Amino acid sequence: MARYAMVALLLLACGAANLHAGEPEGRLQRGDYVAVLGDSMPVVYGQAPIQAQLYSNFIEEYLLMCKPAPNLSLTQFGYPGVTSYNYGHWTMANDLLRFGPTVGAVWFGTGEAGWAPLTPELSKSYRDGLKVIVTGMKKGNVRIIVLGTPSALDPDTTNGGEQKAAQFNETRAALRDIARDVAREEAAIFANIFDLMIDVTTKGKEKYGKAYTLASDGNLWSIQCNGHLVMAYAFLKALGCDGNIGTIAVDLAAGKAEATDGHKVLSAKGGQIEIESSKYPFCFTGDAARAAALRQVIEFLPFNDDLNRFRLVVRKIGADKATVTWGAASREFTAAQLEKGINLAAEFPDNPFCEPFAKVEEQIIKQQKLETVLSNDLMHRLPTYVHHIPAAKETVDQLEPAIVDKSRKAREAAAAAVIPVTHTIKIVPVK
Amino acid sequence: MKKYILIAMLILACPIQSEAAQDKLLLRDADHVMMFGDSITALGINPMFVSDYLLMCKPATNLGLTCIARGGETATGSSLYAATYMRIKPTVITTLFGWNDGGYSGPLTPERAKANRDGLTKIINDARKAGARLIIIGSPTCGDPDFGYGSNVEKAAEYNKVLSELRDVGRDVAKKEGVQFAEVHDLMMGVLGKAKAKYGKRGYCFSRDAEYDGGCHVSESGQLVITYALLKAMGCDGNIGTITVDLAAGKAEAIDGHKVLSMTNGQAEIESSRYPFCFYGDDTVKATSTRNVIQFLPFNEDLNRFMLIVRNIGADKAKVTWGAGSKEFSAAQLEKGINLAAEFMDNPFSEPFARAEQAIKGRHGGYTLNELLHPLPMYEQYLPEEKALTDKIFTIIDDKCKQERDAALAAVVPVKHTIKVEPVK
Repeated sequence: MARYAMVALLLLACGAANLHAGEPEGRLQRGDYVAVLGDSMPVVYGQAPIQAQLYSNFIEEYLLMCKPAPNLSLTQFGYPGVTSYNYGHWTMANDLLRFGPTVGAVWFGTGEAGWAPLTPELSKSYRDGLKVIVTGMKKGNVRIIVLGTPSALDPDTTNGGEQKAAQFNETRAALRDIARDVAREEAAIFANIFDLMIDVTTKGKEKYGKAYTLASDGNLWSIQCNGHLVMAYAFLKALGCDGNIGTIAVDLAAGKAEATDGHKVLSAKGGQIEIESSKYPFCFTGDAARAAALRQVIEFLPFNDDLNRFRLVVRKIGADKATVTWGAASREFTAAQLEKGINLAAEFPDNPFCEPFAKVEEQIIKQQKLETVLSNDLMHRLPTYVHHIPAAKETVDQLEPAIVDKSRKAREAAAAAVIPVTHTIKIVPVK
Repeated sequence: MKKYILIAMLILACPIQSEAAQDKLLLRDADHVMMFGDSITALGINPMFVSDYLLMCKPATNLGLTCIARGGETATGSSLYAATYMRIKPTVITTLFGWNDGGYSGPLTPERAKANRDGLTKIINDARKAGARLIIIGSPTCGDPDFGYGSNVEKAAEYNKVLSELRDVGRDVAKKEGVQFAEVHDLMMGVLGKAKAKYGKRGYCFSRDAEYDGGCHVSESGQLVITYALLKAMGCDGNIGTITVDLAAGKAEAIDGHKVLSMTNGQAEIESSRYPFCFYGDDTVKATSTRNVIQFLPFNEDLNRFMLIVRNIGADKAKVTWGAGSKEFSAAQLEKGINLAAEFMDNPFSEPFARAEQAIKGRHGGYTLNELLHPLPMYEQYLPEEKALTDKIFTIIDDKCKQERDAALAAVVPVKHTIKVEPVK
């Protein structure tokens, strides 16, 4: 009987989680292979600019560790300085589709918008570019296509000040609308990064003042790690991630615990539950500055609520309050809170998953760096060889499967880095 | 007997050549020259001029040229890929770096100087390992002191100082490594100075877009100066050939790539497999005119001596007609020898030269070869298990280069021309 009660409790928790997350727009399936594509977006990380599409790191971290579906993988196909038009017409078929992705997360527009007012030419080129990309992907058997909008400029960090920022944001907003139209016309999914960034920035400034920003030095592309997390959130939501990482349900009086898929209770004794988890909560790690920036931005971004719910539900505590210890950290909660369920990922930003999460992140960064070369250099240049020396076609063609295979192995290595984590939750009633 | 006199005359003519060309020819038959450099070389103009000279003026036979210069390149950057380029087995290497190495601001930092030095040294070492016999380190070119940096003369002077310091680095490296050094920087400054003295400070510039790029990307005029420096460093003696005519005897002889087909009434018909270097352009746009710049550059004297010697004229003067052009010379001038290439800018070679240049142009590799060769190490690094495939691709590229060099050689066909000498009574 107690077991059924636990199951009901788990189902309730899941339902609540889904309602909270809202209706998913797309739905990832087992084995989906996500292609992230767009132009370059340097991220300012500390003092040193790093040329990396950090948001694609975040998305892959989520797919591999938080596992919204099993056996997911991702490749970052960003190409520096390219426009949607050029990428769609000249690059995608060779550099991306030959790898065989099933999902496309498209992000163009920031570079195209530049510092100029919107022109009919820019509108047309952006629209045509997105259309060609969507059409090409569909032909290439890409099942889910997400069109992300350009990012937004921060009036307090934009060169030229508020007036210029407003003018440039007008251009970006127009491109946002075009992306929305194309998504509607082509039955793709729309990810409104622009408005989300404005919203998060506004809230951040309300609390912390003008200095709060997602961008850094007024450069078009200098989105900070917190801004990249906003972008990752938008894409993950668009991909239909429901945010349910798992639920641990504890009956303290019975000395029993159960867990949903992806988590296994190894033991439950004296309020101490040992669990083995193959699904990780998303962790906000990095050096002190990055971790702080990420943990700060989620004050204004419902990342934990919508995408990162690792719930602990405790019944029959036998006291008004209890201390929950997870890893090295302890916190007190009321019995009502615990009976309703707390989100461990939100309540314990430093937790037993942070270290393994960071290790996987290293592997993902390594993988994405390698794949940038595989796609942007090795695959990208194959047609050049065939064009200039047709006699080499047969030989060059044999390199294609080798490049694709190398990429697959790199993704598999990143996935293999996600090993189950054994962790302990201790619940002590506070009398 | 007259034949012996002619041979003696030809031998007498030879000291003119050896005196003018101090250096011993360092090129050998079938040499394959590979040119390293930045965008100044990647423009393809000086590689084309050098190639024109090697293939048409023929300081040695069956020469070939490949250009692997890249826009934005430095000695250090190029050195990273030098070993890959050397796989096509050049026997002669030239380098021309500096503008990007200097970082476009002064003063030259020790780090940049060291990077340039290390890059040049690595290129030399890789070239030697690959069996290159002749290595020429070209000094950086120069900026225009009156147009540089949007006419900011202080900036221009500052950056020319950087370039001159990199010249010294190049010279040191060449000396230390025992390779040739081509002094391009000072030569260009010298030519520029003479030209500005004649046309005014802002009346002459090597670059068509001087205001735009500080005189960095020199047009044909400046590119010819670079060509001169490189050819001299190769030890080219400038001897294109000598035609000797004995007007009284009605006989003519020729040496070094020229054959007299007939000699009648002072008119010698000659077949030449070696061309004099031909110039084009005029004063309309001086930057693009090779014809204009040679008034300040001893190209004809040092590299382009196609001599006509006429004996026994029987008059104080004679009219020489070569192709459509005619000029009068004194008997003394003709007995000493005149340089046809310098005296007749429009001559029977002008058209075949331009035709061959068109055929040669685009066969140096250049951008296309770079596109193909440059990424190969990446394939080898990231796909080591596919070495057999990448090796095969390299072989196909190498074959293609050879075919291009052969096609360039084949484009240079012997030219028949007539020289008429008429005494002016």
